[in-house]
Amino acid sequence: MNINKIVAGMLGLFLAKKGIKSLAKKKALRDPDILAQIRKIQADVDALNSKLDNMRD
Amino acid sequence: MAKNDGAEELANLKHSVAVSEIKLKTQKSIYGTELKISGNLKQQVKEKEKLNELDRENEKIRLDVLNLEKKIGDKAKEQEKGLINHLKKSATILSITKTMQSAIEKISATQRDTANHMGVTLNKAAKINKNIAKELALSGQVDTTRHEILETMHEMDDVMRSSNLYNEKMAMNLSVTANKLNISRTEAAKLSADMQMIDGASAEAAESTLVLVKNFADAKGVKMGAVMKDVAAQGKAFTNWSGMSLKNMMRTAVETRKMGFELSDAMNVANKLLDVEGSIESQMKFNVLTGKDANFDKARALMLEGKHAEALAEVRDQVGDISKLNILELQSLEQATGMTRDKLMTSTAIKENAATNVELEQQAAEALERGDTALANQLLSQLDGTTAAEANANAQTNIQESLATQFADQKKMKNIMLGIQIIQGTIAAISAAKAVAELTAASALTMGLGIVGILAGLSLGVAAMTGAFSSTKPAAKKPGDLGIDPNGGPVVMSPKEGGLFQGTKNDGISMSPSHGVNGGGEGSSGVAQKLDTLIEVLSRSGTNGSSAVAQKLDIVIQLLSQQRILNVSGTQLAEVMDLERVPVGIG
Repeated sequence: MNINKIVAGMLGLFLAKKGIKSLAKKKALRDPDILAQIRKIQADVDALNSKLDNMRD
Repeated sequence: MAKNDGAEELANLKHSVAVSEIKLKTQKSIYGTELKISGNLKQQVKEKEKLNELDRENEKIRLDVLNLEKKIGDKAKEQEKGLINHLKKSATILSITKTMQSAIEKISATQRDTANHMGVTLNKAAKINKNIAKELALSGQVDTTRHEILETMHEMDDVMRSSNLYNEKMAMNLSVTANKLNISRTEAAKLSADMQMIDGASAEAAESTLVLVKNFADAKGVKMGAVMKDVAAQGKAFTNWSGMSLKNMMRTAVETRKMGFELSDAMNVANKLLDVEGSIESQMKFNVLTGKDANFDKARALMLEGKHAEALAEVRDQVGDISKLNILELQSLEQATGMTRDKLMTSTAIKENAATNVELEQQAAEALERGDTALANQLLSQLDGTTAAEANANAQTNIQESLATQFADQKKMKNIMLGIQIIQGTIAAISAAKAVAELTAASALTMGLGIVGILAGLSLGVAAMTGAFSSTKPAAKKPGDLGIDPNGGPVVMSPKEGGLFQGTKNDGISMSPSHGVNGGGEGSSGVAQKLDTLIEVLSRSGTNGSSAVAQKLDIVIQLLSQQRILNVSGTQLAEVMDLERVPVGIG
């Protein structure tokens, strides 16, 4: 029974740790500043890709 | 826009960056080939400049992505900290469960106490407690408590033998009166019940009589407590012997006390004097021996009239000074009167020295005689039943018990207790995890130990409590009621085992005594083998390989998400963890 408690406790610990980290990252990615930055870089990358595609034209 | 767009957009961005790098690499490769086969130097220089510019742009984007990832990491840490703080604040729920447990224990103890005290069922006890709480609340009474009222009721029940003849209100009033008069509640209850049953008095009249007797005792300068002691010892025998009412018996007890006698003395003297033939012979003998002229005829007549105190006074006066009587003379005195030397001498000394306020005594005697209820109420209102501290303690007890009676349904309380048991079981499991973390010194295990307790406690506790208070749903009996991560699978909690488990949405986890015995249970051998392998790996890593242990435990979680049944051999795990004994606090 004690070993069961230990196992249960360890699993609970890891699940909670992962849960909190995952939730924190999801929240961070929903931050408007972050989203704006992602979109800005995405636009830059799209422009670069476009330039690369048209380099030989 | 979906909630996880940020994650998707980030993934798309990373993909685009990878694509641009491939494209750039391809362009560089083409440029290299062209350089070998083409002789147009100007064109080559132009292309080289263009490639360099695109390369710089690409480098800048890569740098931007790195900065972005750092920013996301910082933001996530900030969010994590916020979540943890929020959860820490929610830790109060744990103390609430303890308070609730304590309250339920109090309710249960109160109900059991009442049931045992009154010899009734728990359900009847709950009803009695509710009535007592109602009476206490209605009157705002702090001069008594439920327990004291119960004591009173118990005595009343003993005398009256029927619960129809008394009620909680009567018992409460009597308990308060006894406290105010500072006399034994049990004696007060017995006397009151006897007055109702034998004298035919009403409950109010019986209560007033007690107050008026106290008033009479005060007027006589006699302590009520001493009178009550005499009444408790001899009262019943005296009333049976004399045929007096209880009220008059108490009055006689006060009067005889004032003279230095007790009820038993009155009975002894009366028994001697009313043995007319023997008494006269003893009287003559006493007179001959002492040369006195004692005559007990008047005392005898007073006894027959029921005026015991006056009869005793008459005997004392007839005997006169006895300080110089010899042994034979004292023996004859005892034979003639039934009284001993010390009692008579004490009585004589009191007569000579004690101050007497005849008018006050007379008024008190008349009030007692007519049963002056108004005076009794007035006197009672002037008395304090409790000290300030006692009143405060009683008030707190009464409030607690009053609230307790509102939730006196044992079936509901059992459900609440189950919920609390689940929360505490979870906490026990977390304590176990903490102990293991310390034993293995695994840094990966040190994060947020308290959080797990709170997280698990919160989710399980709220689910359990919600179920417990619901009249239609049993508390937390279904695994579906419980959950930690809404994106994860079912969470199974065993209050007895103190275990917490989670699988995927489609998974189920079963635990029973048969699982884990002899290396595996039915249908779980595959998982058992995988776990054995894991344990071997863990064994090799040793206690110093903390990060390895942490990684391998991640595999356990992964296994859980793949298999329906988890089977853990306790012996094997104990060996892996190098547990020489069960960690402190677990068991």
